[in-house]
Amino acid sequence: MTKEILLIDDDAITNFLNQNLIEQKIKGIPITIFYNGLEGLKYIKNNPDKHYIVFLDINMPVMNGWEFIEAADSLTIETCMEIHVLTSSINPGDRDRANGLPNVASFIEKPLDELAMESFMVAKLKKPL
Amino acid sequence: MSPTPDASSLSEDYIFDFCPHPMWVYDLETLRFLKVNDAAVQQYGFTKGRFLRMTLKAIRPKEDIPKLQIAIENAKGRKDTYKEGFYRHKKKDGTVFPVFLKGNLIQYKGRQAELVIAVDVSDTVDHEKRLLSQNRLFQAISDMNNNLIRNPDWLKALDVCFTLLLETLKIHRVYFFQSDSKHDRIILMKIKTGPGPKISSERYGCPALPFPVLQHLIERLRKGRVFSMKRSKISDPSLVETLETENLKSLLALPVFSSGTFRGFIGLEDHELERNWTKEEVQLLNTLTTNLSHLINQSDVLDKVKNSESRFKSLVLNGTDLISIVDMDGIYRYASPSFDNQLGYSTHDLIDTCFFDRLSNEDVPRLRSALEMVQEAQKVEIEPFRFKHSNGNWKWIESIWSNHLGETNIQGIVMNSKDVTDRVRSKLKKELVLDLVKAFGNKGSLREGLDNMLEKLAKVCEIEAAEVWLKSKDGAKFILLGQASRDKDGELFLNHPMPVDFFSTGTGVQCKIERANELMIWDDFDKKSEFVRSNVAKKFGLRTCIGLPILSGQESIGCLLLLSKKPKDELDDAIYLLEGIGHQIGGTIKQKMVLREYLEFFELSPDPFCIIGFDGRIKQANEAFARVIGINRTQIVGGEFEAFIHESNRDKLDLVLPNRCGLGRTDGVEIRMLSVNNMEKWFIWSSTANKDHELVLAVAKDITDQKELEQSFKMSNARLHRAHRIAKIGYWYRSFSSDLSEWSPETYRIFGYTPENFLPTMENVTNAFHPEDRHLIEENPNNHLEPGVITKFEHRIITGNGAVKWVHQEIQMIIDESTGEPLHIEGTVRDITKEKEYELQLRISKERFLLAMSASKQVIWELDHRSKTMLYCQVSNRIEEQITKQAFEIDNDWFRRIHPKDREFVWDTLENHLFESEKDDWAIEYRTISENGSIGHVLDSFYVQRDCNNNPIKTIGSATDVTVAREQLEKIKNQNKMLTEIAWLQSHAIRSPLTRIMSLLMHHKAYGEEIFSTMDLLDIISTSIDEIDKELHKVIKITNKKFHNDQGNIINR
Repeated sequence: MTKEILLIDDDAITNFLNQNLIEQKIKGIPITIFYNGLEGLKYIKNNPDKHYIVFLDINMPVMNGWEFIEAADSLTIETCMEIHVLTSSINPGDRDRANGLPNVASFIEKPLDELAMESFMVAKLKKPL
Repeated sequence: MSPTPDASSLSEDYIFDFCPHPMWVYDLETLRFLKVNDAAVQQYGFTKGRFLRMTLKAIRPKEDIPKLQIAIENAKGRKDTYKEGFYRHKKKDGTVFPVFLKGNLIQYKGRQAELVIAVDVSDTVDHEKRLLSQNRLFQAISDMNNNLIRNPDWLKALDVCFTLLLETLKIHRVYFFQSDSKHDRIILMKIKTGPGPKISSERYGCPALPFPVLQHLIERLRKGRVFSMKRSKISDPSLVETLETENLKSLLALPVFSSGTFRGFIGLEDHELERNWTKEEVQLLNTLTTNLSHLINQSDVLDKVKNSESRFKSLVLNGTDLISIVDMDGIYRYASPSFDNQLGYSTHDLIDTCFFDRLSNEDVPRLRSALEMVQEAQKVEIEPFRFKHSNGNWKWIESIWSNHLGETNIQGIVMNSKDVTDRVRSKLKKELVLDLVKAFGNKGSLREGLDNMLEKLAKVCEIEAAEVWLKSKDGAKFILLGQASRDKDGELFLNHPMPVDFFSTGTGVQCKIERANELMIWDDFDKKSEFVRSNVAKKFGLRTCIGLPILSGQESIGCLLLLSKKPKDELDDAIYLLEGIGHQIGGTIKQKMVLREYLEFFELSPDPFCIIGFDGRIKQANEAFARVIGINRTQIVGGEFEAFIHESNRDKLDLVLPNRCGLGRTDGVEIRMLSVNNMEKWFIWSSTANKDHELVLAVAKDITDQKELEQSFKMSNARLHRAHRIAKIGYWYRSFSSDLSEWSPETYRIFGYTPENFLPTMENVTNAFHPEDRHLIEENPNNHLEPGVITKFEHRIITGNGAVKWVHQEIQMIIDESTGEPLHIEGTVRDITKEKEYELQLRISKERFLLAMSASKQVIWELDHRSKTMLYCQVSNRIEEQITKQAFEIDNDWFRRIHPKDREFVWDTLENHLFESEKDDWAIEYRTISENGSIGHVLDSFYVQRDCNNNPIKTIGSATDVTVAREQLEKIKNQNKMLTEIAWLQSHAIRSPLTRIMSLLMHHKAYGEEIFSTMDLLDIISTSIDEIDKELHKVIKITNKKFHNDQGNIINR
């Protein structure tokens, strides 16, 4: 399966910066940006045969991160999705909540910096790509 | 030796001088010696010269001088010239001696003189004297011999002899002592005392020989030696004294022996002289003694013969032996006189009669054959046979026959017979007694035994009917216990019905016998109408009644009645046999009676009895014993007693068998015994040892029940004590008359003392009370106690080691009803220190609880599911508890206060939880509605207590008013919500732009102005900062809003 990285965040700047960083670190995997969960979900629905690595923000309009995860989980079709919650929230409650959900592979605090990427890579390397 | 002179040549003077005989011439007138020869000189001892100066008188003893005068005178007138005669002369030394004077008258020198020859005839005289005395002695001997021989009675002869001796020997006393060897005595048989000086008249009859002398004397004499004693030879002063008194000068004793045995001695005493006994005298005496001994011997022999003869005579004449001679056909040829006094036949009666005619018929054949036998056998012994006495009675004769047919003197069979009637009869009697006893003993029961015995008796004594009457136990009646008869009549008599119901001991034949206490015979019994059965007897021809008492020791136990057809005279034999039988059999009968009684008791007893031998084996046991042990009696007898004892108690066996512990009797030994099914039984044994029979008689009492009771009591008691201990209850008792109380072990423990170190006197007990509580015990109990009622006290005590304890006492005082004075007081004491603590704590707890309850406004409720009731309490005013009880229904007060909307819910939850759920505790929240309509919130937590089937038993709940809490909670919720909001805002809304800035800065650092210019960068940053600021404002606003709301609430509250 082909992999695809999705960046789902309502802030353009963040998306931009993140995209930059990720492109530098992970080469070869396409990155797609969405500005709310619904859009992302729609996209995934339409393209279910990909291995998605989703960087998901929580605080978004229309469908926030939590809703997205829930909806993704209750999708009738089979998807292969690893969700990494990327949020500005430093609330431990959010972290716990996220880790408790299925499909959530990790919880990253914004800003997504070099260090975060390093650890992400290590974690990823552990799992087969 | 001077040469013999020739006499022929000598002068007449010479012859005169040489004449061997003293010769002299004396003047008739002057009596002066004119001429004397040498012989005279020699003889008289005077010198010639002296002689010529003497007169005849000088040679004459003084007393003879008058004789001399007369002689001279005669001589002067004498016609004859010759004269001779015997005179006595005296020598110069005074010796007087007899002379034979021969004298011739002469003329000498112109004077009338006489020529005298003096022949010393002293020897002759002596000789003659001796001859005389000898003659006398011999005469005496001869006389004595004659006497002794002639006189058959030697004592008499001795008498004569003694007289002779006295005379002949000139002694003063003579006696004969005879020795009685049988009695070892010396007896004075004969004494003769002659006339003599100074024989003390007292001892006239008996010579007083001092004992030592006598002893010595006898000793010698026994040996056959002659004993001689002279006073001068005695040195012993006392002896001398005695001899003086007796005036005994000399003593001679001669033994008399006959056929070698010492028979006695003859003693002679001389009171004047101490004599030396002459040969002839001794011979005389010896003759006497020899003859005497001979005589004694002879007389002895004669005596023996006489005795023997008289013995024989008396034997033959007066003896009981019957000597008879019969010829070959049994005809009497001779019969000794004894037949007369023995059998009443004089010799005359028997001669020519036949021996066999007088025998009893049964014995004749036996004796006839014996007669045959003796003709061959020479001697035959015949066993006793019956010979008829002249008076018709039979006598038993035992006999030895010897064959003297050959001897000419006899020519017959000599029968030496003896009347052995008594012997035979007594033997028969003894046998009878034995038989009777045997017959009695053979049968088991008393009655059978008596019947059997009577049968035997009737047979032997040849009586027709016999009865035994024994006295009843109370001694008032005679009971007929045995009967026997020998013929039909007797039987009929016995079976005839009794004319009276019973025979009392006051009347009748039986009574008479008892009174007399000896054998009684009623001849003509049938005629004696005083006896009730005399008619009956008459009917059957029984005319004589013999009765004898049956005695056991001294006690009369009954009597024997025998009835016979024979008259009294013919019943001699029977009577002889019956005499005294009562004594002989009485004992056995009594024994059997007693035995029967005892056996009955032995068997009857419900308690085990047994008889054990000294070896430990059971010889006899009664039914009760068998029953108790549970096995057959036959298996017990012969077995070891030990086998029935439980092993733990086997050592006590020695106590039961007193012979083993040396006692005569032991009492009260408790032994555990095993019955057949191994059940344990307890018995208390008493036993006594009978050493003669080597038996131990033991009786026991079953105390199993008691033992069990005892044990259970012990156990109970122990349990009680333990219970006391567990419950920590002590018991005490004090009688008012005593100062000392009795304390149970637990009481001591509670008070912290032991019986060893504390004495519960009133004083000590009072001191054990806490000082402040002492008043309870010091005052009159009546003040505190009501008699008969149990009163409680709680007070403090000070224990042995100084600790203070609380005790609870329940006391009861018992008074004497009549006086009202207290008798005793008792109570229980319990250590309640812990309880008191708990109580205190509980009280504190309760206070706390009430305070807490009132402070917290909680309501405790309780559901009792069994009774379906509900209980709840409310605390008001901090100290008051109000408890309400109601039925468990949805419309009770409790539920009614619940808000209607929640009521259903609460009920259902409760129900659900109670009956469906498995959990025990739960909590529900609901609203309540008060009377004034205000709503409260209640948190009701409860706990369900369930049984093993999970059904609820009880539920306890606590309803807490949480209105305030609820409101607080609401507020908090709101606040939380706000906080969350704020947090969220902070986290997301505020931080988001911040992270944007961070990222931008990061990016800028990394890439510089590649993508974003600085201006753009600053723009974006500024925008972000504004965003942040905006968010912050939002936050403040929220918090402010909240604060105001809160303020408002607080005020409202």
